Amino acid sequence: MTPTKALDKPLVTAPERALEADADSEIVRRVQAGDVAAFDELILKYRQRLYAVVYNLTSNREDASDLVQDSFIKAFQSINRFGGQSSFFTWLYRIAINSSLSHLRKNRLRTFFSLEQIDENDRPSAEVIAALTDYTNGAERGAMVRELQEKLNEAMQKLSIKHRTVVTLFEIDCLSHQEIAELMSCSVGTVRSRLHYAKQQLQSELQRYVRR
Amino acid sequence: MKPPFPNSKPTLEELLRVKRAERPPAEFWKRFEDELRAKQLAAIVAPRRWWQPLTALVPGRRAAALAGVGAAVAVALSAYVRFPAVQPTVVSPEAITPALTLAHSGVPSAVAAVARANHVAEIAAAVPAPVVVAEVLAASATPVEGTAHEPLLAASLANPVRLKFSEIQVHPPQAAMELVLPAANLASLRTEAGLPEPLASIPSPRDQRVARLANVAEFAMLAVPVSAPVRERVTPRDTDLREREISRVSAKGDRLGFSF
Repeated sequence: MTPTKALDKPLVTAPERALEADADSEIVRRVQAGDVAAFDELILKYRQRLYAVVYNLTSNREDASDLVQDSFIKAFQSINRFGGQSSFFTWLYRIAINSSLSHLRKNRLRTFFSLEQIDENDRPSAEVIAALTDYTNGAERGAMVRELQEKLNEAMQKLSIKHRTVVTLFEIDCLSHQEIAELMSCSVGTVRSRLHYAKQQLQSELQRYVRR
Repeated sequence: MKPPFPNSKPTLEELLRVKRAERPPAEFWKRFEDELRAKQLAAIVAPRRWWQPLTALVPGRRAAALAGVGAAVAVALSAYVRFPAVQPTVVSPEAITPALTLAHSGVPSAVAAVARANHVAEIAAAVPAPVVVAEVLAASATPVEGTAHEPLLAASLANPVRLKFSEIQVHPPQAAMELVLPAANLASLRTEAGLPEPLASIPSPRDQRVARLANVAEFAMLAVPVSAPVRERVTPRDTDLREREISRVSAKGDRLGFSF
């Protein structure tokens, strides 16, 4: 099985996201009514995805952790202002992305990368890694994967903040063009254009590792 | 040069999706939760600015800044409202018309006086120099027998805001009742209490007419922007207004006309 076929399916489909949005609205109503503990459900539900997005924007574990925590705190403090015009997920993501962009602009010159472990149980990525590192022994394979991660992070950090955000949301978090446009308050055309440009840049940076 | 990955190269999209599998270890989430709890508690306990609840009323990104400015404006406005003496008041012609109609329709003077008590304060507040107008009115106020509040009315024009409250508190209940009760009720109450009927003291239709016209003159002077020289000319003639038979009072522009 080629890796491409395994990766065709997005992480979360649109109908699933609609169901999620309904469930979230119910929890949000409970929090707004004073059930503070209900907010924990939202934290547990979104912390991993939010962390993944922020981590891929900052490439730093500590910064990502702080930014995600701050995003949850901001959402908690402002939950009474949340009127349900968009889904809670979009609202929370917007808070996190705005915080991250603001952080990246302030610390433009400070870059400390940290690498996360790749989950061996994640089938699609395991297949990609297997295809890349077939016939290599364990130690060599681990070193190659680390090298790959570093090169990926470097290439991502060379992108502008806006381009990096679009690539992260589309390729890593599997959001649709429409959802990204809503999050970034821009048109779908702008999202497509940024994505195209960003991919060209990444292709050029990672030409040794990827096929055209 | 040896290629970094000997097997088939993945596409860019495939390579990027490897990043989906990057996950922090389990202990990271334990620490994350503890830190988040601490921050959440700090956020709950931390004092909030007095205007921060108002941000809920303002939509948009600049809610906090706008709410701060808005709150400051609200405080300034409330201070302004608490001192109405400096507040410009505009009295519409509709507010004046009922009083003029009452005075003009020949109803007993006591009723006209009540009507005047209700409207004179508003009219006086609308005139740029209330003190001057009060003086003019005090000089030209119609003396209607039995209306004990007349001097008070004229004097209170200098401070129109206190008019109604001070009348009720300072004066005897009877005078206060005259201000608030319709003439018919007042008459029946007077009869029951054995008090003299003030309307009976108006001797003749001529006097009634004179009083009525003088009332009209008062209101006309307030309703039109009468210049100071005109006021000065009218005030000495106040006695003439009552003693001579006036057939007509007219107001046109800043001029008042009296036909004898």
